[in-house]
Amino acid sequence: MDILAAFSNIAGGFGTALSPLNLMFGLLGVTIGTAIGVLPGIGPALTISLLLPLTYGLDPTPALIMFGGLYYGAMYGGSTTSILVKMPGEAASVVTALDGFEMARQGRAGPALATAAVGSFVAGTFATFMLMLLAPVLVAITLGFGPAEYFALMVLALTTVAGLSMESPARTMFSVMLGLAIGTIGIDLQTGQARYTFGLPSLLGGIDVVTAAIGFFAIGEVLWAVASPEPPAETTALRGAVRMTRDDWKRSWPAWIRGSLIGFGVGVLPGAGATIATFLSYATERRASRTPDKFGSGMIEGVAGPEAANNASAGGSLVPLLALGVPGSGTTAVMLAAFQLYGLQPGPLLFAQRPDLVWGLIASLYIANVLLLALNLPLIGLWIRLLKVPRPILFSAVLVLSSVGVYAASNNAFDLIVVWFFGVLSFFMRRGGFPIAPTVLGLVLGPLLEQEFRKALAISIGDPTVFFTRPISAVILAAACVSLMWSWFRRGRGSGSALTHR
Amino acid sequence: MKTPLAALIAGVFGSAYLALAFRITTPSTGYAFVGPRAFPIIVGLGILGAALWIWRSPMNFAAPPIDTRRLVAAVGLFALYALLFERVGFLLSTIPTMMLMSRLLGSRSPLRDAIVAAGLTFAIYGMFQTVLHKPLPQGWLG
Repeated sequence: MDILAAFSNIAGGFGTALSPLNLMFGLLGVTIGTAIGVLPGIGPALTISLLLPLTYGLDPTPALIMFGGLYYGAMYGGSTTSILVKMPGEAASVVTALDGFEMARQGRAGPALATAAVGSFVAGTFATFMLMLLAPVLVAITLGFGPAEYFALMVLALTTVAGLSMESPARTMFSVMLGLAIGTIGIDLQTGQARYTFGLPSLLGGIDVVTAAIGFFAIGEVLWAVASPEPPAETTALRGAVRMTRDDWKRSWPAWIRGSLIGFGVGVLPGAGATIATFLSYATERRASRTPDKFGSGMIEGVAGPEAANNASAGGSLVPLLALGVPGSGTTAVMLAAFQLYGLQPGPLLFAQRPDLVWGLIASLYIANVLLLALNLPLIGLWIRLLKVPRPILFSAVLVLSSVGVYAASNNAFDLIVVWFFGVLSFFMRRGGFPIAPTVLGLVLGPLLEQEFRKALAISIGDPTVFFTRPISAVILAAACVSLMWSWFRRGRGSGSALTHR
Repeated sequence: MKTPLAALIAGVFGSAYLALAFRITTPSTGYAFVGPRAFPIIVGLGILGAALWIWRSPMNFAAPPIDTRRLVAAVGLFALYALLFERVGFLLSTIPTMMLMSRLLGSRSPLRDAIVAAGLTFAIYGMFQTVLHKPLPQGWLG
């Protein structure tokens, strides 16, 4: 591992990230990110989808820096409402509410918010550092990859989504396959044949990923909000200063470190996501504690660990996205769509062709962490006020912004029908216990998967054993099989999870 | 959703998707080892596999109660908005849609909703016209 090269590259990256324009977009990203983290129901995937059509005219570097900051910011902001209102802004902050809200009830909201913010900073910085070191190593390894290996990698990403899903693996697998199916709509680029277009000329160009993502995430969320009664919020006031005692620091440090390691490790795995990282971290803290029975009654470790884990997983999930071009979560799938929108394909070539962008983005994540720490703790009162925005106004605004964004991208009212259709589909999928993010992931990866599949077979002159005779491809596909079998045996009998509703 | 129903829906969708995959025409000429229907067939089989897996994985999943009337009204309102957006124009279709949607979302302050809807709609219109240079449809006002 050439650490010196990484440091030299990151120095160049800081040059890019610290330009006034990029710094401004970074600040905008972390501010929006924190706000959406605070607001329940509005997640980073939804917001990036909404912002994408508005950033068409921008240079890719500031736009992607903004999305990176937004992703990190959402992870920071999610803890605030978990601790003070017991209404997690993100699924990844559900665990934080267990002990965080109890701490707030005992008048210790300040230390809970402080350990969440400092832990997020520590974990975010650690994850960005690891991203900086690990991504070039992965890039060097994958330079020798051909279509068969890329095909295998994407299969692994999709099977891991089901294997590590917090919901039913069977229903998650259906969601993934549905995304792949939607991705086949339109003209086949190799032969010019129309597929699943039902005679509609507007479908010949295929389903635009951004349109589908807005339908699934934004419109689906609006319909969910309309149909569900407003959840009663249990609120505690913020009393005292947002600072930790010496004992709080002593208890938080090990939890931050464990949370950072777990979060980054889980984040790098495609499909695992921040939620599973927080649950794992919480379980680890309980096991490591001398008083595990006290968890749930206001233990600071129960806030420090999971909050570090969810931020580290955000950094971790950028490793496969940037180095391999393979997203592992809903948010990174939408970020891949953002790259593609600008005519860029993350992966080894991007590191060679646009080092300014890649290293600028990584450097901006360090800056985002510092900005978030500065924005979060002193301005906590301001963020809490956001919760006073009436739900009807918030969601009707999301509806309008979604529609305008989709229309502006194509100047075609047909896309509004498409977005409406996916919104309704998204609602009923959630009602049926089918997670949404894997469908968007499948939709983003589907066309790439098919392309690599066909390229590999073209190179092997139609020999399908190419996927098993090339050693790396065979190993990755074997891992995909193990992942599927693991989920079959582990939860073959299935269990539901309320997380599908988040 | 109960397991048998979820599996049935997944199975019906997978079968329909697979049947349509077989109807994709493969060109008689051209150089391609894999035709346009190969990948859809694999995906169709995958969907049927997932349906079978759902069938074999009973799940105690109880969706929370919903307000069906509001949902139907919101779905209908958005469909109407999508259909009228270009014809009636952005301003004239968006303001009433936003007000009605706020009402469906539980708002009981029509005046506030009207002010917010008009303010936000004009702000978005102005931003698209002047900053983003992407004119929105003017419809009846054009």
